[in-house]
Amino acid sequence: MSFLPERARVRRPAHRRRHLDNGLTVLIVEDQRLPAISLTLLVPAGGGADPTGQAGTASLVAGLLDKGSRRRDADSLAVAIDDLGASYSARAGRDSMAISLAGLSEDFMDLLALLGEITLESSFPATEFHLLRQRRLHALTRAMDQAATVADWTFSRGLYGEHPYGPPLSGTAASISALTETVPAAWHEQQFTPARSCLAIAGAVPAEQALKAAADIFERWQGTPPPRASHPDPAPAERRILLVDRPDSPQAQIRWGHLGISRGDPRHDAAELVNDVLGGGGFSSRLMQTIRSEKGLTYGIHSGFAARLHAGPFRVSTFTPTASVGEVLRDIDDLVGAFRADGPTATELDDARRRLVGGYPLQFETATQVAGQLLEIELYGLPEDTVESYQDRILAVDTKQAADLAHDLLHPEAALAVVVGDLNGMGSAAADWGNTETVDIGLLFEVGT
Amino acid sequence: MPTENSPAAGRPATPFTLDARQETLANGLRILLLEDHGAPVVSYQVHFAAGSRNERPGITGISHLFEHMMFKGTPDCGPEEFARLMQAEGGQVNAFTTEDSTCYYENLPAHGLELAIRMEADRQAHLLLTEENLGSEREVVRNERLLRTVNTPYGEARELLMSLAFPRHPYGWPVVGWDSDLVAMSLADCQTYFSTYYAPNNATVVVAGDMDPEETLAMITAAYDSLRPGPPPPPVVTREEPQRGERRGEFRKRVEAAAVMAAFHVPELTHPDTVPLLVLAALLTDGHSARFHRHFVKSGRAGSVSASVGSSFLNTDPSIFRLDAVANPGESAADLETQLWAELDRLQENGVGADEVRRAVRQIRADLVLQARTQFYRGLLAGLYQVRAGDCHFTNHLDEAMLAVTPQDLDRVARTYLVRSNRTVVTLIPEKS
Repeated sequence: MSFLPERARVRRPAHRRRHLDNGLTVLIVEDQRLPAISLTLLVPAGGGADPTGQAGTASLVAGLLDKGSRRRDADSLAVAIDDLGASYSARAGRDSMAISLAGLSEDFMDLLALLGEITLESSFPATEFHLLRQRRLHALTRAMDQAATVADWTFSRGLYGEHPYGPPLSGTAASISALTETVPAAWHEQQFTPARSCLAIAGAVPAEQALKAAADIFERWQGTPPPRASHPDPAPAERRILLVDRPDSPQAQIRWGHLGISRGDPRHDAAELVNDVLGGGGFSSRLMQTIRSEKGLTYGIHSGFAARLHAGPFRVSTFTPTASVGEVLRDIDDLVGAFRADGPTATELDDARRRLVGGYPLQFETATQVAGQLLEIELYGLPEDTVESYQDRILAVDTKQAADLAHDLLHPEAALAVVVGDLNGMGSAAADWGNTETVDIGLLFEVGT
Repeated sequence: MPTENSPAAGRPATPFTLDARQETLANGLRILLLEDHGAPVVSYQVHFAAGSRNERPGITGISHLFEHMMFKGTPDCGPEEFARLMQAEGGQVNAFTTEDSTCYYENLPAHGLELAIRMEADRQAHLLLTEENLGSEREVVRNERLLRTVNTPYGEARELLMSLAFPRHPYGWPVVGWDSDLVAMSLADCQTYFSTYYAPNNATVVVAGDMDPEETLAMITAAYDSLRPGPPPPPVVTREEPQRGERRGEFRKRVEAAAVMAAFHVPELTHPDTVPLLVLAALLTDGHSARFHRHFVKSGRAGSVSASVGSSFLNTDPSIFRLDAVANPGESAADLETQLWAELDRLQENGVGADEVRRAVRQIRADLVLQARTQFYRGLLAGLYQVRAGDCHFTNHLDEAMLAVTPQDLDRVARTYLVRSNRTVVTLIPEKS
């Protein structure tokens, strides 16, 4: 796109940013279009901060935050949230935890007070701990029915092993069972600190009022952030394939990939551009064109670099009838291999630049989306001008740079593949892969089936 | 003095009101314009009044398969070029098929609107249907069916539930269709479908967002004016007879947890009982304070439970109130079902509380405002309700009716519809290898 229409240029999003004395960053994105408000507290600790052998701790903490505070029990808290008609969620990611409340802006003060109560005064009652842990154990067993989940988890475990990005975020049956009542409160006490956390308020509240209210409620929050644990990237592995048997399943889930780059890597945005040509650009990507549009072997195929604090995975995800597994695996190898060798054509690169640059304004349609972009900058310590420089940076990537990136970042020779499906019906689909291992699903989830 | 519904009473009368300008071209194409300059973004949508309810046995799933064929090109635009060109404008391109309608949409930067209008009109007028395209897309759709239905724990049991609840009406088969019908479908079937349902007089165009209504109207008129109207599509005449007695089914599958699914017949979306039924569903399972959530999920008695009315955005014809519950691993569907009916009995005997109703209404209304922040969602509200209810402002009507709902309304609909003789039940039974 040689010319970017003025209307499509994304500028620095209008917002207010303030550090409270305790170190908490407060972001305000005022938007008076509709009487709605959304609040998000982002704490820079997630599953990656689960103690060794205690996978699932952060996820359990997220589930327990609203299950009782110093002021009231879980049922009263639930009624208080629902009285406002609010949407509540608390989710642990690998690098962070996001606690959100959204509702009508007339309830702003009540919503903010509730968010403060849930995040700062959570009491982690033992009864709630045992109830939730039991539910999580049941959910883990039910997750074994979801082939896509099994494939995702097998891939992470295979790629990362004992690195904190290895186990499922929700833990395994063994790791959750081993947790004791005091673990969540202790993790919360240690990891929930204001210094690197960020509160975003987006919606129909005057910025000054929002800043003052945020300070009133969150300034009492104290604590020193724990030292950041260092986790060396897993050692480069040999090319191999992991097979998980699901007898009678007519369709197999496939994952293919290797270690990628971190969110903070200066090549991140250009890598996303290059990946857009290969498998990120929906119907326009090479993987989609060949494997779906021409051959009809799948309904969807996608590739991408995960944005994480440490090097995240580069991963291709798809699914296909059992009988086509071998062909799809070969196609992925061939397509990624050819792309690594030659990079994108000038036309492909131009299309991808236009997709990303032209589509960028869509990511800023609502105040909540704007706040999400700003939170990402905070979490990963990205340059302040990340948003307003994005379109120019993408437009500046030329075919030489793109080809170099494809060559540097794609590694078919070190790929890990995972297939979850009916191994009997697959025949010799994995024959090309010398290094083959069959994974027992019960061992993966540590449920002892 | 503040009234009960005024903001001063803590409840805004109209947190979100949809206001669409309505136009109709000479060929019958309906146009809905929702101007909003909050962000340089526009959603362009074409809604056809055609979905699985317009199908018949032998060609079930043709609406959805046809949705895929719409991306396969015209004389001016090669296969998949539609998506490629729209994406190159920064647009998000997709489509979805439901029981009652099919929607094609582009969410894009405002400067891409003209291209979207021209290309949508082009494929509606000049779609190329070839054996080769049908062959590959048929396999893509069969793969989609495997993904969403067969290779999931609950998909096939859900299909059984609907086929038992609707032995006559097309809501009895899945939108994706039966696999045998997908295999048998011919190019001639697709051509007939296209000429029957894709005429301009069976379509509604929606433009929501950053655009000038006069300019947009002129662009749409220029692009669509030459399309010739078709005869009105045949009406869907089949009706279910009132159900007189419980119907039951059982589905056995290699799964880790049993499940219970129930469908109770309820009226079409324009019926006055729809709103109390919607509030009742929310009161039972939406939010952590909802009574079924507390009783079944939080307590650990079940893995999950959810209640819903019809499909998203409701249904044109009489539909169902659904209850879905998943048991804990190792526990029986029969035990869970007994508990479900006991709780439903308790609800019918004791009635609902005014505070529960107030919370459920507030949740639904707040959720509407939160969703309506995107142009895409506003466009869907206008377009889907235009096709399904014959009223693009139907969401405003739902919102008003929501404010007037009383606990007595909920008690009445619970006692009228959620009764044994009106229910169909399917249990999913785990089968071990």
